[in-house]
Amino acid sequence: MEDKIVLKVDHLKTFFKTKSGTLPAVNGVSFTLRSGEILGIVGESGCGKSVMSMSILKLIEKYGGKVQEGSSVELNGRQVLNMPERLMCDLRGKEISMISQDPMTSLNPVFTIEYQMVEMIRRHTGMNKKEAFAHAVEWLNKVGIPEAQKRMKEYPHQLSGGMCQRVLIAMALSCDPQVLIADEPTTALDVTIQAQILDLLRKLRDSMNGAIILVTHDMGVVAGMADNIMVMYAGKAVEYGTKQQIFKTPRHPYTQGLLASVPRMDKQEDKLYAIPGNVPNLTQKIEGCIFRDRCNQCIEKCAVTPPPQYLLENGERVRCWLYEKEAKEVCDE
Amino acid sequence: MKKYIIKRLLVMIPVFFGMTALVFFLSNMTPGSPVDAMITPEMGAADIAAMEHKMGLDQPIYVQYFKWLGRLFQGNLGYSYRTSQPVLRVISERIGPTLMLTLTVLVVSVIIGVGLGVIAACKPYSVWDTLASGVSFIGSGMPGFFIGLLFIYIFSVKTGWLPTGGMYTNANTQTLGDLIKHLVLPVLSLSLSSAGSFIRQTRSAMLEVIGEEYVKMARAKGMLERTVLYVHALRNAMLPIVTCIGMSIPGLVGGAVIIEQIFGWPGMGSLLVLSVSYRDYPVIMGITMYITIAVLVTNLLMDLIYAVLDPRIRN
Amino acid sequence: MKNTNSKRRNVFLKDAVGRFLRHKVAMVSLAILTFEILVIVFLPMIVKLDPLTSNPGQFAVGPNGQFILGTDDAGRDIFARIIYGGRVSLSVGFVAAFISAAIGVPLGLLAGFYDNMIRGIIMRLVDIFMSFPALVIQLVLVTVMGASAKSLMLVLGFLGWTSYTRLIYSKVLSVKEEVYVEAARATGATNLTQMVKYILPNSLAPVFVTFSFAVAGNILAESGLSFLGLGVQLPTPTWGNMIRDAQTLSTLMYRPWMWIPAGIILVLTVVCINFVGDGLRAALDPKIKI
Repeated sequence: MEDKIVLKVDHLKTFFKTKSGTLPAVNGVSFTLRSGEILGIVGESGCGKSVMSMSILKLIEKYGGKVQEGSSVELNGRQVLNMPERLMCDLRGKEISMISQDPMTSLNPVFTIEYQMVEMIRRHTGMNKKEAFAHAVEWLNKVGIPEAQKRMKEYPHQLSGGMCQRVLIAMALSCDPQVLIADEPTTALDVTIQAQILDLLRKLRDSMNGAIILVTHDMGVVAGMADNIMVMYAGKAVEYGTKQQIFKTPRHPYTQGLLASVPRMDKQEDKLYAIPGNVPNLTQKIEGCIFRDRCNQCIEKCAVTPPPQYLLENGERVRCWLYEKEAKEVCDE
Repeated sequence: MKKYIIKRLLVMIPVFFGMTALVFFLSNMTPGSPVDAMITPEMGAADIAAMEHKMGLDQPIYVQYFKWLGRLFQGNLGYSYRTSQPVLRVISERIGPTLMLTLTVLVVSVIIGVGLGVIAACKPYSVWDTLASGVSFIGSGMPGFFIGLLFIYIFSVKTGWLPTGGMYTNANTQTLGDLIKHLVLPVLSLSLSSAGSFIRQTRSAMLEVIGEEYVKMARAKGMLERTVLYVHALRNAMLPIVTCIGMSIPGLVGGAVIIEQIFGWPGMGSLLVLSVSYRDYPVIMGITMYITIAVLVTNLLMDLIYAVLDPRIRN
Repeated sequence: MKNTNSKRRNVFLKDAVGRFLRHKVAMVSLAILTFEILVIVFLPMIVKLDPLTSNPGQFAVGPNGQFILGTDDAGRDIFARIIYGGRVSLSVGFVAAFISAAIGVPLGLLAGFYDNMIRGIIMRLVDIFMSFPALVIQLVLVTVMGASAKSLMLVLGFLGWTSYTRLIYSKVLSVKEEVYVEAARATGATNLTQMVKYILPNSLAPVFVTFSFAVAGNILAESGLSFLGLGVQLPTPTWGNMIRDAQTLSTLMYRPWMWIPAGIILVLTVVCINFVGDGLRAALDPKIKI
């Protein structure tokens, strides 16, 4: 049971048609998520993390994106990408749900907390109004909202940002989903509240029977939370491994750069490291490796051919020419 | 909520005084003094002065204003020069038809405008969107009187489908069906221009709201698309739309004046035009006052609707 | 600092002009309007057009070789009346819009700049004027002042200032928080200098947009009043009082040339001006709401 695969993403490619050309926002991402797992997805803003979340929920088309043929997202063994919208609506919120970056704007300002929670619970569980209300209150208690009964009658503007995020978490988990996508759940919050929310998510993971995808740009957040980590750069997964592997022996130069740029308490540093350069413009065709311009370990090959993803002995995957020799096999492309 | 209503009422007080002062100022600008009508050739300057004193015309202007306001509250608006009847009576017969016309227009234009605007926003670049921009294009550019005349030309003169004007065909046919038949053309010609601005406002408000994070969230929690659009998005988009509807009401009243004239609708508008051509100032001022009060009341109503729709204002 | 300020403005202006030129509908509308204005202004200088004299024995004739749009009940050339009527309608529209801007812009500037009584009074006045049905006041004022093109200009001009004030006001609120204004304040610029030199030039975008919509609105208002017989008086032609002919049922039914061309040219003009306004808004500031 522990090892049941709840979500399998394969070769996910999502692109946007823009005036200046096609923009491949997600460019061939694959991973599997097992129940109970927390997968951290890390990358700079604009690397395609949020587009990926929306693609998994099959919502990206509403926002102008298109998932390319050949991509696959399996939720509990069912293919999501060709699922009729009506059925997909039944799954969203019930088997897979999401909490988003900005809790203050993610709740509808003109409806009470009660309305927004009960509406969703009733949609997915067939409870009546009273049962749904009780269920919602129970969840508000679980996420640590005091005076839950009273809060139910309030409007989002009456709550603080941290409270709103708790409500959103309660809402997202209220129908017992197998997968929770937390898209930058703490970015908009104060530091102390951030810690509380992460703590809450960690606790809830133990009690829920699902998995969490934690999308963030903050290495510090995944360090405390994730079991496995996927590092994304410009729409591609550049490295995938367990938390220990990523933090102890980062392979990809980008991952190394990210880790080097985290300020550390335990070392005296004069200058904070920053990866030079900027994320490339994806509408332009890039020869060779996408990270080449910013990489400090570039070899000749990098300029010519984009590296494939290598599977290493220890199960780690990395997309970099430097590991061609020690690689066990090339996985996909 | 109570606090909000009181606040709105307090805000309304200076607006009320401002508006009535404006009307009073206008009526004072009208040529001739009310005494003129009563002067006889044998009266001397002293007699006229005595009469002016009797009528309070020698008092300072602000005293005259408050006295006028006092009379106004007692329903005393003077007598019509044209028919010599009390202004209140002359006007009151005309209120019903005008209210009927403007309220119908309001309902119809909100239904057309908000309806088309929502559909246009939900299905951008579809046939509906094209239709909506067509209607708003005609509505914003075509003056109501030209639309009205074209409608009469097409639907009454050429095809004979609908009557050219009036409220009933004759005194013996005062049925609802007959009334509706007479209402169709004036209502449509007046509705187009307000519907046009409602369409644009609704479309842009909906498009803005649909891009909001809470709409994304509603979709992510599995709500059906129609619930997302017509409940989550529309409820929020209604806020700017209500403001727009409120702001369109003065324009609508102005439009009704012209439309009533074209269609021979027996309302305050055609009375106003008639009174203007007879220079029947007491009636003109009476009508202006009535319209002023009506607009103030609708403004308050709009504020209340706004508060009902937006919890952030209520609390 | 002043240098970068004006440089920034130039870049913005260049972008805005580019955006406007790319707005196809606005460009077509502008072309039509330019053509129309040229015809209205210059055609009477080239060809002899007489809008006032009635041609004996030529009453209410349909379009023909001599009168391309026919004649009216009094035997006057409809085409000539449309051209001359355009002169009246357009000048009323533009002059009134200028008057409104001259009143509304300074008031909006003051209301936005001063966060005190001045703002309260001005904005309350805006409320009062905006909640009045414009047509009713216009009607009363024009009657009092005597119906003519001149009094229409004044009445429409003096009543139309609110939309400028409202938009300038909200623009100034944001502009006065900009760094360059703060810098000017810090370096001891007087209130007047701040307003005129720094805030006003950066708050002008809504003025151009409002101006074009105001011209269209004034033309509509003028035609409405003239249509009611309470605006520009016969024999001076305007599009509105030409359409008034259709109030007689026989003209409406049997002589469409008397009123439909005037109506069409009126609608075309108003729609084109509105589109130009839309193009300006898109080019200058898409967030402006009229």
